[in-house]
Amino acid sequence: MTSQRLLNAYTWTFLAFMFAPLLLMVVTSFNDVSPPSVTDWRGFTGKWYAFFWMAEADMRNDPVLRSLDRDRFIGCFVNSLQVSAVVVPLSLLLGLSGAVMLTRWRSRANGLLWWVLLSPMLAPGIILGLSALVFWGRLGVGAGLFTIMMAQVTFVAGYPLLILMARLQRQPIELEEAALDLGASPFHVFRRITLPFLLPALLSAAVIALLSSMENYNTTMFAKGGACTFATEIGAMSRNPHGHPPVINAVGTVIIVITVVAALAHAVLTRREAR
Amino acid sequence: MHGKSITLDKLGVTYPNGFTAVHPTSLTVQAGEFFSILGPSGCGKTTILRAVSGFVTPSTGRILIGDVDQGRKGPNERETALIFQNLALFPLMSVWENVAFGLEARGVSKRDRRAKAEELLHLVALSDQADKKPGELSGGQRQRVAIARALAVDPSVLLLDEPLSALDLKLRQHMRAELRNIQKKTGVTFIYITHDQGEALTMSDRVAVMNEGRIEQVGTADQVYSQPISAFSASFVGEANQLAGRVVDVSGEMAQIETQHGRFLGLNPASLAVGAEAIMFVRPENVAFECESNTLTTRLLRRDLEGPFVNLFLQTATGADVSMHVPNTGALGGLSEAEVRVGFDPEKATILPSGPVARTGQDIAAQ
Repeated sequence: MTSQRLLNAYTWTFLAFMFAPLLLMVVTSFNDVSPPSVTDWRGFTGKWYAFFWMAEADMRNDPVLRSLDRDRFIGCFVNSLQVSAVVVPLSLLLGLSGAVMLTRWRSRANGLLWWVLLSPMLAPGIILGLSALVFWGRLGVGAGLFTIMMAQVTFVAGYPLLILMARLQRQPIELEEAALDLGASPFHVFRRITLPFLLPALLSAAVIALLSSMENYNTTMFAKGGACTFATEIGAMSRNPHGHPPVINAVGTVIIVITVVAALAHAVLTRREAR
Repeated sequence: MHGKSITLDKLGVTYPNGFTAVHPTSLTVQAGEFFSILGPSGCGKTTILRAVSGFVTPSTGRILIGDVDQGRKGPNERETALIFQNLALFPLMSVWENVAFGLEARGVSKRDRRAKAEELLHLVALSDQADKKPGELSGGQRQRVAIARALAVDPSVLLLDEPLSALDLKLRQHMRAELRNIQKKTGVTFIYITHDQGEALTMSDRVAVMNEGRIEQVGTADQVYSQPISAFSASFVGEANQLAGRVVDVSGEMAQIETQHGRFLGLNPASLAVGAEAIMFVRPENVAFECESNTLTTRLLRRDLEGPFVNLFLQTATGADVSMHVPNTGALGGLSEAEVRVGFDPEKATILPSGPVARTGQDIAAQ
């Protein structure tokens, strides 16, 4: 009975440590004070959100907001979208090929290949960023969005690989053999049998790849050169010696909402996939 | 549709890990024949099937369909259709799309596909199930969808890999008749793989008995059952009492074998010479109470009621187990358990060279 109580206490403490900072962040994003505070409540405001669409003149009148570079921030966000627009499809393609190869094309090298393909997920992000920088630098490509994409793909591709492999292992290989036996070309088999079966897994892999590309900081930081992304720009803003602007808290709150929605969507997809 | 013959010309398969699944084997299956390969699991029968359909590359020898060497043709280029043990119906497609899949792969228009699918579903009595998903059908219905799907591509040869093993007994017996029927109607050559001797014996024109990568005997069901030519054949197909010993006398078609349980006279189809190590096989239904020759004095260990017959388990004083089938006509009432005298007709006993025999249920359970 006591052990049950201890476990309960531990669980609730654990959850509190995990979620209290998030909750504080959400609360401060509505407090009219900078740097963000919960103890010093100066009234409810939505301006930290409105920053992104308010008129230029309103922004100049605000003592906090006028020191921020809105265009740069939005530019960095667009960069992030561009990066994930390349990283997500590319890692789905690489993950899919890797998963098909590891589950359908059995060779003795498979065990080794598995580790080689997944090692970037385990390697420190700094190393991935630096090695992409060095590799492409040698080829004469300067650091920028392209090196960010290349560096991110190395580890993001691991997520689709794992998700699709798990799915492919559940599909009996006889289905593909039966289709082949009935006269279908390998491409037709892939399009009509393998791909429809993989579709839910592909969608959830895409969601996870998108999230991990958008939020990636350390790999991106080392590969970015003069360019910026959403994550690195937030990093830069929060290093302000006078405390960071609550705009970051507003952004954080939006990200939480998006993440929760995406996680729910993922759960729904996984459930459908299980059927 | 028209069946074609299949010729295995010294076909051998050795897997990359060094395991020889099929030793060089030559065999011809006639066009339009219902041919079964019967053997225990792991004997190489599925490997032969997969080699014929193109999933396994032969290490030696050739496979001919009709007169055409299949060489390195892939499974999608051969006139064969394989019915998998787990059926492998496409779960995301409707029944008719499953049946029409081979036509879809050949670029047939949707209207013609649907028409052909309906024709085949009619053949297997599933016309009203065309728009369901395979998951909504019963085991027997799924079975018939798999058959229709395979027939849709007009194969010359239909290869069946234990397709009935997942069904319950009654349905299995019904499907045996149905398969035989479909084979007759279509004239397609069937090669049927099974470890169930009942299936092989009831459906097939001819049966090949296979063990450890080698075909031991090929013949009609009757020949394989009544005139086995190897110790494995005799012990795997049906039940057989075994008496091991040495040939001591040969005269004409008969020979006499000396065993630790006595001397017995039987047929000598392998023309064994005096001194050869041999095993005598006697079917339980050929053991009788009143017999002048080949007698054994036993005691009754157990009697099992099988329904139409009673299975008696007897043992001699020297330790030989004898199993005996007696028609269940109620005449066993006065049987004394302590001493049962039985025997068998020499014409119904076969002496074969000693060699590997099939494992009994007892051997398997003891593992």
